[in-house]
Amino acid sequence: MTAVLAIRDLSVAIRTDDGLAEVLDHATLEIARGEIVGVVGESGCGKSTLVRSVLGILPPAARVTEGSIRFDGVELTTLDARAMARDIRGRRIGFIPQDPYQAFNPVFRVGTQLLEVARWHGTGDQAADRARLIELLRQVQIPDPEGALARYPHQFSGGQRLRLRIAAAMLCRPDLIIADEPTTALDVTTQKQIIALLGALARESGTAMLFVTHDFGVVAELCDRVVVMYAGQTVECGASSVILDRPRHPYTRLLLDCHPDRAATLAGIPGSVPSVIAAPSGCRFHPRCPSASPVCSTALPPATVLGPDHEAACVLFGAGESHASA
Amino acid sequence: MLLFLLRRVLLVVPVLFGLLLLTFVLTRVVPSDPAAALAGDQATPQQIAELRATYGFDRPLPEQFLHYLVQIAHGDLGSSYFTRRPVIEDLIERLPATLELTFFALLLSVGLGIPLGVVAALHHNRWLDQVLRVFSVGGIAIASFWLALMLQLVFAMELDLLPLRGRISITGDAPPHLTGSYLIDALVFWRPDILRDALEHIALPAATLAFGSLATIVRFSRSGVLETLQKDFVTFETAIGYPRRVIIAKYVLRNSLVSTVTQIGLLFGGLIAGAVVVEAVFDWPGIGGYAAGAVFSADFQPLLGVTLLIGAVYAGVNIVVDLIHAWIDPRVAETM
Repeated sequence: MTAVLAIRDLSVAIRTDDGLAEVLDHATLEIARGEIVGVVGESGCGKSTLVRSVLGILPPAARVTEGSIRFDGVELTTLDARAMARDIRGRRIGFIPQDPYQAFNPVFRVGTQLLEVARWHGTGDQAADRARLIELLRQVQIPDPEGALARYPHQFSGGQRLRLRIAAAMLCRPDLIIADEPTTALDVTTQKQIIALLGALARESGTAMLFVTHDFGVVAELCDRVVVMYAGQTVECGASSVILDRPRHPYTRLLLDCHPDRAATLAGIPGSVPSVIAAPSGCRFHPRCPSASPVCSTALPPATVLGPDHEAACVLFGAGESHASA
Repeated sequence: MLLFLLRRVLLVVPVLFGLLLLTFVLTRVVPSDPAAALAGDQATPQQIAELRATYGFDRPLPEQFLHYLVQIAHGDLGSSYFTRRPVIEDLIERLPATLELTFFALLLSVGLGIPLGVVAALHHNRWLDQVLRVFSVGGIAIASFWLALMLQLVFAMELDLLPLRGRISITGDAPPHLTGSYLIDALVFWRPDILRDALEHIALPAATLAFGSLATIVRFSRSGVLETLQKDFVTFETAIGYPRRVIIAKYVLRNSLVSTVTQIGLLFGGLIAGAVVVEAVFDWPGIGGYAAGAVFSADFQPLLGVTLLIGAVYAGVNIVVDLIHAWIDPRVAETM
């Protein structure tokens, strides 16, 4: 399988008044063509920064300090802004935002906004693009698609706005769709429906997807593989079934214990995600980790291969096997 | 929407009533006596008292006000105590000149102010922004009569590019009368010679008048654009591949205009007030000089007439501004 997106050892630092914050610390993940990969972690783990790095929309104070992002062979970290806007965003990478309401421009009709992408990245045949959009709106179950295009964003419910966004992201047939916690604000029923819809659409069109979430339930339903992040580091990755059944990294295990569907008594992880300004040295999870040993604070443990599609970065699994993953 | 219009138009009535009441009281509490002024220096107290009785100045104030309201309700704005001319005639003659000047100034300040504000925002805190900031602070700080004199000195006296005063050349014709605005009438009847002459005459007074409001528009559109650029949807529009220029010129601009447009209605009031001074300096035959004269001679009827009319125009402009606001922002339209 060739990777459509390969992020390796990506480090991103943000200048703040209190100093340099390393929001991503050697984050690594890979997405094969047509594959749906979930990125899971608590708030503040750098999931959104990861997304912004790929899309090239990091805030001005942030900068990639190390590592690479290769999209279909093209290095995105060094690609100039114009090429990024012209060839990548909207055209080859679609994006579904965290808050579909804030992402809509309040004073333009939905149709104007959804078709704007196609104007610059579509087939060049505006009527055809429009027809495809209508068809997509039908697939995401927007009632009266034609009429919907003439309405304004505030006239739709939260779930419908997300459906509109899904259709728009699909419009130009991208190779990869990035979804940044899109279902967080929705009620459980709507969330389930939309996840099912999104999964079906992506599989049908063969589009790869990077799906950011903090919900293992969504991972179980939607994702082929999952990457667990903690405080800017990728701590464990593997096939969803493997990670969900046999999590190895202490953080993943604790995180899974927090999920109401899985735990008989709802556990929590003591402490909270550390500030990335004075991030703990070595493995960033060690201050909260029940299995921590003194060596954890000295160095970031390399990823260890634990199975056919399973890696975790923890000293528990020994450094000896690390070369196998490199 | 139609209901909204009707409601807004009806609301103008109590506003104008309040405006009249206030102006009426103000004219009566100032220590000026039109009867004494009318009677002249030589008049005996008895002659003055007779005049007072003739004009009803001896009646209680509420009665006088009621009398005035009844008169207005009949469509009669009264006459000047001094010239005996009906106020309505004076207004019809002079109001177009003032409206032409103020609307032209408004057009200038909006037409220049919005682009300059956008440019300033896009060059946020760089030198172009700083230069524009100096200008816009200056624009608010500079006294219009001083600016008027300077413009006259430079463009009329020194460079001899533009006429010093007046609305049209003494030797030239006025266009055929239709709206009373020389610019519009010259356009309608297509008299390019008159149009040019009228434009040359309006340039300096309109520039003087526009300078202050231009500054306000620049500041509001600048901060509007800066604020909009912070919005999530701008980041998102970038993320899904809209070109930068389209985001700025289409998606950001319309959002940022909301705060600017709501300012326009308020600015219009300032323009009318500023016109009084500007008209005096440039000898512009508008309502400003007329109103000022009426104040000095305590000529109540013209004063109230001017107030009423300008109040009505101001209210009208603000209704139009609300409609534009609703057109820009559909969420506003829904609350109408």
